[in-house]
Amino acid sequence: MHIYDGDWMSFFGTVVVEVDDGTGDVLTHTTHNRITNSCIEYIFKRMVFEDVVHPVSIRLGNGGRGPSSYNPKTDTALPTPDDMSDIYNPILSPKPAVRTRDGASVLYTIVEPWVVPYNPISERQNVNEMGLYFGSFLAAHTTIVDLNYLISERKRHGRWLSGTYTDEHYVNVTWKFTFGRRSDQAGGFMIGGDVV
Amino acid sequence: MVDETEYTFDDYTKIAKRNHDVKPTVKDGFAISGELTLRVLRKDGSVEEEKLPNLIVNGAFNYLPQLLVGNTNARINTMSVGTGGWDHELGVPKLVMPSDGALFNHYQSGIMTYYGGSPPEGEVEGIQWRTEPQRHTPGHPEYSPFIGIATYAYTFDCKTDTAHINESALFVSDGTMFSKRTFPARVLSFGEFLEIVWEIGVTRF
Repeated sequence: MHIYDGDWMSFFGTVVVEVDDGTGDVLTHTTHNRITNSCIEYIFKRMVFEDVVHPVSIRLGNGGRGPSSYNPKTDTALPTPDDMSDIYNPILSPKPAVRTRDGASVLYTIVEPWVVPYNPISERQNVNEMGLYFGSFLAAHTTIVDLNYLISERKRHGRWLSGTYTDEHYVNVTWKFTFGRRSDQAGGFMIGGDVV
Repeated sequence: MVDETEYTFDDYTKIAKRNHDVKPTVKDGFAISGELTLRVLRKDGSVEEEKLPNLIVNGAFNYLPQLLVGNTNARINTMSVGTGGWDHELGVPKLVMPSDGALFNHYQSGIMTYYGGSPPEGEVEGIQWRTEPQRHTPGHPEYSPFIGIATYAYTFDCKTDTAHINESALFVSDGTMFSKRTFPARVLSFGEFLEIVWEIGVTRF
């Protein structure tokens, strides 16, 4: 069997992270993910014989970068297709997520936010990776810039000089699988006839 | 001096990346493709074989999200052939459109059984599957572009004096068309057979 230059049915994952600093001023960050091989196997089995629909959860971690440096030379934490059991260093309990369908997309949304303390000095509670779990296995994995780092950058630029912010941040995550037609002839990934 | 610029979260991501050269997370995903092998089994024992890629139609784009959300456990289990796939005016197979949901002119359908592995000895019809993520590793001596392949096989007989089979499709058990292909007619006489082996492969892109 060969791969053809033609039409493929595809989906990719998008992770939307919303951080509320306690004042209702929500920062939104969107990134992509690595779909694991075990996820692809599971969906394939669902197509052929598997009746079990696993409960879904999302987990945060701080192993998404090197342990003490952002130096890419020491950064070995890029998600790989073989990340099947867990994210690199989970720091908070998984949150159950609800599955919903939105047209050709499937959304996994946590039912309540995490409360993450802001700590500009310690990396202990930095959040820089997230995992989507189907049952006990890791289905998708993403790494992001540390939330605390971004927040401190924001503070440094003077957005939070009013003193109304709290030291706790509320983190919401929505994981989205967007289905589309990957058409080499059309020159890209198509959703509803539009190349995106 | 306070910077009054209205930064967004993504602006800070860019700042961080600029300052620390952080690698972005890879954007990749799941992909499905398919192809079918047509085998005409003649009365004289000869076999004519050809492999063709298919088009996964829009029905599949409705079916798979339903499967992921858990709204259905329907499976691909039906293969059909038809006689309406030829454009007589242009002299070419009719164009299969993503919006197609049926054959142009249905001739025969067959329901396939999933055996949970290999079918019984001597049985060529049915549904099989295999996964091989280890082979889906660059540099593997037996590299496979696919993480998994499902195989659907059915043998159609000729129920009339002759039959001009020129289209085929796979269907989910709820009637949703999954994939389709048109082709130059395979002309069968009574007593001859058309065996179709349809492979659906999953991989990443």
